[in-house]
Amino acid sequence: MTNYPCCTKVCDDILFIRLNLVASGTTYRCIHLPTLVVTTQHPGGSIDLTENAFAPLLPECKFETCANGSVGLVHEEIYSIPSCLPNHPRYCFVLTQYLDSGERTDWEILEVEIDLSIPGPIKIFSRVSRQYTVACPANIVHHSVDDLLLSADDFMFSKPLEVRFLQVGKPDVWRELKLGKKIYVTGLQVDRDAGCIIVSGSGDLHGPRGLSFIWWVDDRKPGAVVQ
Amino acid sequence: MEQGTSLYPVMLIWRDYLIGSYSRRRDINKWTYGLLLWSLRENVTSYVEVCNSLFRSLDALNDSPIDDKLPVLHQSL
Repeated sequence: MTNYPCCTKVCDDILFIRLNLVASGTTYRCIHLPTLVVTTQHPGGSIDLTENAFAPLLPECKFETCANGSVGLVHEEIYSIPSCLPNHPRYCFVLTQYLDSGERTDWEILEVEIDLSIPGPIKIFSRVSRQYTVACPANIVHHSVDDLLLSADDFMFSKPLEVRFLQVGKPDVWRELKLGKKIYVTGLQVDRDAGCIIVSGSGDLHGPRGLSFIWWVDDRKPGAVVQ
Repeated sequence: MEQGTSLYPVMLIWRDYLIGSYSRRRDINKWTYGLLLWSLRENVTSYVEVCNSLFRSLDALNDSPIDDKLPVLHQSL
C-alpha cells in the first residue's frame, strides 16, 4: 500500500490529507470538518453533493508538490496566513522532500487558497502558488511566526556566502544577502526580538576565530559584522 | 474495529473528535480508504468512506474509466 492517506494537519476547521506516492511526489486533499461531521449525522450518510456535480471539481480537490522523483517527505509545516475573503482561507505549506534515492533534498514553499463556498465536505484548492524552491540547501531556517525563510546553498567555505531571504506571501520582495567573503558557517538563526538575522561562523575553516554577521529584517538598516 | 480494517497510526485532535484515516480490505487486491471520526464526548465512532478517486493519484485517475472516477461518500456508525 504505497498510497495510504494520512491525516496530516488540522488548521482552523480544515483537515489536510496527504498521500505519498513513491516516485511521483506528494499530493494533498482538504476536507471541511464541520460539514463532514454533519454528513455523518445524516441517515444513511448521504450528502448534498451529487456525483455529477462533484466530478468536474475532482482535479482541483488535490494538488501535487512539484518535487519530481520524491521518495519521501522529511518535514512538513502547514499554517494559516491572512486572507481577504473569509470563505477563501489561505495556507502556507513548507515541505522538505527526499529526492532520488534519498541523497538530495528540496525545500518547497507553497501558498494555497481553499474555496469553502462549494457544498459538501470535500473542498477544492482554488489557487496554488509555488513561491519558492530551494534545491539541495546546505542549511535552511524557517520561522512560521514571521514567515521568514533563510537559506544558503554552500556553508562549506568554497565560495562567498549568500543567504536568501523570503517572506512567505510576498514572493516579489525576497532578497539575497551577499557577504562577499568566504566563511565556514556554523549557525543561521532569526532573533525576532532584536529584528535581525544572525549568521555565525568562522573566517578560517580550521581556526577557532568566531564571526557573527548581522542582517536586519528591516532592510533599510545596514548589516554589521561582530568579531 | 471491523475485521480487515487497519488504522493509520497518526491521528489528530479537532474539537471533541479524534480523527484518523483507515483502510479496509475488500478483496485480495482491493482496498477502500476513509476517515475515522471518534467523538470523544459521545464515545461514538464514525467511519466515513471517502471516494476512492479522491485518494488516488491524478495519473491513476486519468487512466481509469469515467465510471470509476465518481465519488461515493458514506458513513457507518
